[in-house]
Formats: sequence, C-alpha cells, structure tokens
Amino acid sequence: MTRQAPTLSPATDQDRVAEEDEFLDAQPFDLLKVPLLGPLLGWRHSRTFLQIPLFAVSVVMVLDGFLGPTLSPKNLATVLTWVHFRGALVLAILCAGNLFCLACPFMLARNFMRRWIHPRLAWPRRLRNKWIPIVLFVGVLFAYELFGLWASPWLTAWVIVGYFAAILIVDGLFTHASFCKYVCPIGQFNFIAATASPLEVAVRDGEVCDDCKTKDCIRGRREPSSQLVVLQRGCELALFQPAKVGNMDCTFCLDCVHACPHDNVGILSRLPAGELMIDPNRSGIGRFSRRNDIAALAIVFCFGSLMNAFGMVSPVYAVEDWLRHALHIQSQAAVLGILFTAVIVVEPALLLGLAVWITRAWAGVKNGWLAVAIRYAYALSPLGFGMWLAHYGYHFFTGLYTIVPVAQNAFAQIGWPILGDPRWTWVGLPKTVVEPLEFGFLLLGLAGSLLVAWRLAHDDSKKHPVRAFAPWAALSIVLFLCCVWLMTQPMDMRATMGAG
Amino acid sequence: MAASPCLRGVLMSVALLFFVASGCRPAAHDEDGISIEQTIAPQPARVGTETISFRLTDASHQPVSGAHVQVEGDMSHPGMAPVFADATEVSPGSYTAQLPFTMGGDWVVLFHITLSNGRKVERQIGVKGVESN
Repeated sequence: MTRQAPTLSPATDQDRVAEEDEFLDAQPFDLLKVPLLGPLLGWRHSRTFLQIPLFAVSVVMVLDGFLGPTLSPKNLATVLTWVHFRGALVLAILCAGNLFCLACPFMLARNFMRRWIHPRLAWPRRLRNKWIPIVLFVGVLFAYELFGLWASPWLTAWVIVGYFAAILIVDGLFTHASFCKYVCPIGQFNFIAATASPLEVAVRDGEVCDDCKTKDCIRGRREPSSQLVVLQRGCELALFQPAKVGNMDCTFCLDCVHACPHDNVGILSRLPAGELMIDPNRSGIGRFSRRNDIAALAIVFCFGSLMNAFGMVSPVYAVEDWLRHALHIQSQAAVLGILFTAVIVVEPALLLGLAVWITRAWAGVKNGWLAVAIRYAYALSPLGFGMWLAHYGYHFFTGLYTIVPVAQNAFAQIGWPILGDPRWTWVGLPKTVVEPLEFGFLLLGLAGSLLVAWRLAHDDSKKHPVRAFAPWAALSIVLFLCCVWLMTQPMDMRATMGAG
Repeated sequence: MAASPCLRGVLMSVALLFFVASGCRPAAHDEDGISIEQTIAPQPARVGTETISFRLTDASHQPVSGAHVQVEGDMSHPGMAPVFADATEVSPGSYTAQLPFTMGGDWVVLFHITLSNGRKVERQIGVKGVESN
C-alpha cells in the first residue's frame, strides 16, 4: 500500500453503498452450480487435479526446450509458451476468469515443497505492493525483445525453470502466497486483465456472512487438537470474502470455496470491468484510488501491450535505426531501453498528464493531478486487455494446429513415432477469419474503457460529466487507433540477440 | 528455517539441472560430409519469392548430383505457416529453388536432402532480416 489520495467521488456515501450493494447482489449465474463442472471445481482436490497435467506439460516443455529441436517453430517449449499458453490464458480470462492461476503448475511444485518446508518469515511490509512485479513484468517484456525469447527453445526452457526456482525460493522463505501477491508478473497480468472477466469468486448471500463466527474463508480450518495442523487453507492472498470486491489479487484457487462451512462462496457472474467503475474499500487491497502501484500496473498493462506488439512489426526497425544514428549508439539494449522508456513511461506521462489537465480545467474536478490520474488510469485496462487479446489471440488462432506436428515430431525424435509423421502444413485458422476477431477484441476493449471512463466521469462531475469524460474518451480512442495501426502493420519478427 | 534434507535435495537438483542444461545446448554438426553453399537473390531478401541457389558437395569436395531436395522456410517465431519448394538441379551438384517468404523478419531455411543412394541429410541456414514491402 502506498501514498493516499483523497476520495474523489462526489457521490454521497449512501448512494455509493447502494450502488455497490446493487453491484454485489447481481448473482444470476454460479459456475459451481453447473452440473458436472460445479462438483468438479467444488471437489477439494480440484486444483491439484487441474495442476497435474499442466505441470506434466511444463516438464515436457523444459525437456524439449533443452534437448529437442533448436528451431523454435518445431519445439514444444516455444510453440506451447508463445503460441498456445499466452493465447489460451487471455481467452480464458475473457470468457471466464483467472483460470491459469487456478491451474498454475508452479503452485503445484510450491505446495509439494510446503509439505516439508514451513516458512516463517512475513513478506516485508515495505514490499507489500505491486512495484516489484511491475518491474519484473516490464523486464520480461524487455527480455522478450532483447533476447528474442520466442526464437529460442533453450532460453524459453530457462524462463520456465527460472519461474519454478523463483516461486520455490520466495514461497520457501515467506509465508502465505507471497509470490503470487507480491512477485509474480504473470499473476499481476492475470489480476488486472481479470478485472474485465465475466466471473468472480464471491459470496452468494451476504447475510450468511453477517452471521458467520468462524471466518474460515480467510482463516482456514485447523485441527482442534493441534493448531499447527492445517485442515483447509483460508485465502493466502488476504482476501476476506464478505469484503472482497472483484478479481484483483484473486487466483481462483478456491480455498475460500472449500473452507466456507456454509457453502456460501461461488463463482458468480458479474458485469465485466464493473469493478473498475466503483471504488469501495476492497479486502486485502484497499481503495483503488489510493493504490498508485495498482494504477501504475494498469498503465503498464495498457502501454505494455502496445510496446509488445510494436516490437513485432516493421516500423520498429526504422525507429531503432533512426535512434542509432541520431544518438550514435550501437547497443541494442540501449536502443530498446530508450524505446521502452518512451512507450511505457514518457508516453503515458504526457498523455495522461494532458487528460488530467483538461479534466481539471474544463470539468472543474478539484482533486490533485496524481489523484485524477490514478482514478482514470484504471479505465485504460480494458483497452489494454483488448490489445493483448488481439495480439495473443492472433498468434493463438493462426498457429492453433501447430501443436499437432510439433507433438508428432517430439514423439518421433524420441524414437516412438506413435502419432505418425509430422504434418508441418497444419498451421491454424486463416488470417481472413482471425483478423476480424482481432478488431472485435480491440473494439470490445475500447467499449470497456469508454464505459469505465464515463462512469467515473459521471461520479466525479455531476454538472459536467461530458467534459470530464471527453479527455479520457479521446485518450482511449487515440490509443485504440494506435492499436489498429499496429495490427495492420506487416509483421517483422527478428530475434535480435541470443536466439539459439 | 533449518536447511532440511528435502531443501538440500531441491537445491542440489536445481544445481544439477543448471549444469546439465548449460551443457546441452545443441551444436551444428557436419557428420555426413555433405556441405552446402548457397546464395539468395535478390538481395537484400524481401517478402515475396526469392531464388535460393545452392551447391552440394561431398567430403571430397565433389558435386553431389541426383539428389532430391525439398526446401522449407520457417519463421523464427513459432506458430507461423512454413513455406516449401522443391529444388531443381540446374547443373551437376547445383540446385535452385523458388521460396516465397510470406512475411518480414528472421527466417530459417531447411534443406531436406535425399541423396541418390536414398540417404537423408538435413541442412539449415539462417536468413536474417527479410524486409517487408
């Protein structure tokens, strides 16, 4: 938690509570009530059941990355990581929720380790924020471009191994889910993206929680005779169900579902991105308006999507060449560093600064510059999610079937060609089918950003909501046009360094 | 937190993996004695059809004639459609193929060579920075 900003909304507390109650009470659908799927997810070992196959796939990916073909399109590590995993992850978040964290294979290794290793250290109070994962997230994007990770099965395998090592070290030393909440860059990506998901883990009936004495959803259950024996974990990310709002910091681990003695926690439908339109005090998080680290995460999430796509199209090389000549630098790392700084730091600072200035000057919003910027930064995350969907969805759909020949080849390589000869012509859906989908994702993201911005503007300036909305709508549209421009550029993927 | 035998085991496994993985990066080999010298035209390589001319020689630098060669182009990024072309022999040991590069970026060109005696050989070259139109 970081510095505090003043509460911004001029709506009365009564209005806001009623609004939030209305939001929280909308429970028309519960995934846990669906036949077959509901009982499966409600099963105490459902998470482990889902993690085991992904863990097995991870091991195969690492082995193939180290020992298999050096050519990226023919290796399971690169194909599954950069084509299927990324695409499936964002599509699952769009259609349901944070399902990857639910089935996270890294957590399986960590849970196994914790059978014997019981950490006692608490995560340092000063680090209980999102700044470390933000730096790691940008670092991953930077390394992806600099080392051409997509082109190197060997480096990709090392990324997977490094991830396993990092979670074992962090969660081997620190209690609770410190890695998930304060370190994991994939987790933070999932958390901020899942604010636009249609499902969330939430209480079914708030009145049941009012009468609850045990609070097992956060405390968990322990053996009555020995408090050291945990029968069922409570939420390891400090999300107390009755006060939990939205998907931020929720890994969908379902510990709360299993812990609740009243069977009062479900996976409920809600308005996608609705949690960005309100600013209640969220359990384990606080108010979004007072979390400049989470606002920064939303900004990096949005502008990082542009940078990640920009690194894959032809104009980036013209810009890099211009930078080399203009600044007389040869280092690729330095050139990329300048590009990243420009797109992820300078560009948002200028654009958001301009939008804040107009909001304050034109709409009469009296709050400070930083407070306004933080409040409206969250409105950019749906558009960012649209861009991630468009980018990763493109690779996923156009390379959907590539797993078939790569798997055939992997079996053939170990002398057991049970799947037959690799059919390398199996690739994926045609671009004519995929491209409309990509623009649909972008339009969906733009619509989400505009809706969130409108709702925030309406709350902030009852007299001039259009004036408060206009600069953020204009910013969203400008970024949307940038996304469209990027998606229409010719792809040009060069592994600049280190590709094996 | 005491360093239990389990923790020591985990740390030793990680260290072992590090050493194994460090040493297992595959290297290019030329064990069968077949060498390939190639040129790509026009230069610089651009999106569109490029002519790949190559010469196959054996260990004694004699031209390898009568081989069937399928040329395959793959993007450096996974999930992209590969392109294929059959090479034709224009003179003893010299072959040419028309390969359609479908997008800009780094390509890897594979030569699937079936020698006249039925033996199969694979060769791989990198084509860096194919330019977009």
